[in-house]
Amino acid sequence: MSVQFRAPFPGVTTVCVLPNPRLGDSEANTDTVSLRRSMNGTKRTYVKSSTRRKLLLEFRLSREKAHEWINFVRSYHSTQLLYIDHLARTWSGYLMNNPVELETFARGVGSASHGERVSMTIEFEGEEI
Amino acid sequence: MAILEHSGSSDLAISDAAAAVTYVTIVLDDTLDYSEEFHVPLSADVDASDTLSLSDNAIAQRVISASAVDDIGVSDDSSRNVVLGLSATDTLSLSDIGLTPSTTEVDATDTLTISDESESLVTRNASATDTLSLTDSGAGQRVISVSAEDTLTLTQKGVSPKEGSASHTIGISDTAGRVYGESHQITLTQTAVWSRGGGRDATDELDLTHSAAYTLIRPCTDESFSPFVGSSTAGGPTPPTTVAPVIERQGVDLAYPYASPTTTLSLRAPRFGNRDRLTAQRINRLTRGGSLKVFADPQWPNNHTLVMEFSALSESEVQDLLAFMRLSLGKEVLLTDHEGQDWRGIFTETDEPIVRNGRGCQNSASLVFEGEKV
Repeated sequence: MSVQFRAPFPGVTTVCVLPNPRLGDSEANTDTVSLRRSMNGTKRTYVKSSTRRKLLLEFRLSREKAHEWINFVRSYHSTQLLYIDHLARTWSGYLMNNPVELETFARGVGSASHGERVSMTIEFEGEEI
Repeated sequence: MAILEHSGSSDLAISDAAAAVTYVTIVLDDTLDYSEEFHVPLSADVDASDTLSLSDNAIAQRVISASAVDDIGVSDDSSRNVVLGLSATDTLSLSDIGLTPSTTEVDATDTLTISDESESLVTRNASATDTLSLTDSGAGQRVISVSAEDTLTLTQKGVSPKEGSASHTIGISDTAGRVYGESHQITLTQTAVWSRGGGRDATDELDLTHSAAYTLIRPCTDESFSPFVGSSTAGGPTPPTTVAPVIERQGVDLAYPYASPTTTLSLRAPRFGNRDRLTAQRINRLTRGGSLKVFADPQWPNNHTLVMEFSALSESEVQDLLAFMRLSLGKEVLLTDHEGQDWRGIFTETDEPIVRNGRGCQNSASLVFEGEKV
């Protein structure tokens, strides 16, 4: 199981395959409601609706994959992306976290990347297509 | 009562004569008022014609001033209630002659004004025509100045609901004996205004690009360095490199100055928890409609920051680190990280303390380095 980030969109040329995000990922609407109350208690609302959603994903990668991700972000940090999540849904949007930070947190198991593991969080905002 | 033909004529002759041997002023003045009118209720043809000839002569010996002036006003009117053809014609000939055997100045001036009007409420053809011929001639023997000048102003107006035309034909000819200068200056201005044209261009620009991407899913694809980079004709950002970095585990080496290092310092590998931080210069905006726009110029720099924390350092190592930080304050250094990657940059936080956690090699230190990979 894996997820994919494809860029740029449209005209995809580069695909970065990442493992599934850790449990605890979140998905939220980006609609906003401004609430005002009058003197007699009447509520009035001003709504900004949006079809976008904000995804918060935490990944644990090998050190090599972290290098690949850093290179990917360096090229496409301000470009519209396609994101295919672990539920096979396709999203178009942008990477929102700036800076992108990777933390080497532990030794890994196995032969990949000298055994080091990297943790990172991706904040992605876009709409499902 | 019907009159087929009627004519009336009057012959009038006026002669004034004044003669004197010596007079300061001699005046010959004729005032002539003559009119003919025909009033006929029904008539096939009505003519009204005046033939008038005036001649003034002033002849004297040793005359201080001689003048001959004719003021002539001719007006013909012919009107009918129902008219098949209507005409009003004036033929006017003026001739002024100033002739003197020996004269300082000779003037000959004619001022001529002709006005024709043809007007009717219901008209098939209406025409107004002026034929004007001006001839000025100045000739003399031993003349200091000879000038011939015509000033001609023509105004035509044609107004009709269906069709109207106005045209000028101007011919100018100046001749001056013993030519010193001859010039014509004609300025013609035409303006054509067309509020709506009939033609319209249609242009279609179609820009086609193609791109290709691929993915090879293998058991270790999500763990290994395996970017899948295709190609595109649409331009855009430069794709990331497909060459994996060579990782060689080692300690951290510092060298100063960057170009030709004279001071070096080697430390052990940092503790876990070291961070790679990539900060991109970009602009995020939400439009009024709620769309998200992200923009970054490719020339805008990206800052890469390394945050490292070291432990189990000896006293001499931490002192050397403090000395190295002070030596390279604000200047570029070469950092070789624990994976064998070379970086060129500066220390951004130079007041990070060293901490003595215990006796012996139990000192710790940290550094924040901002630079770019070389």
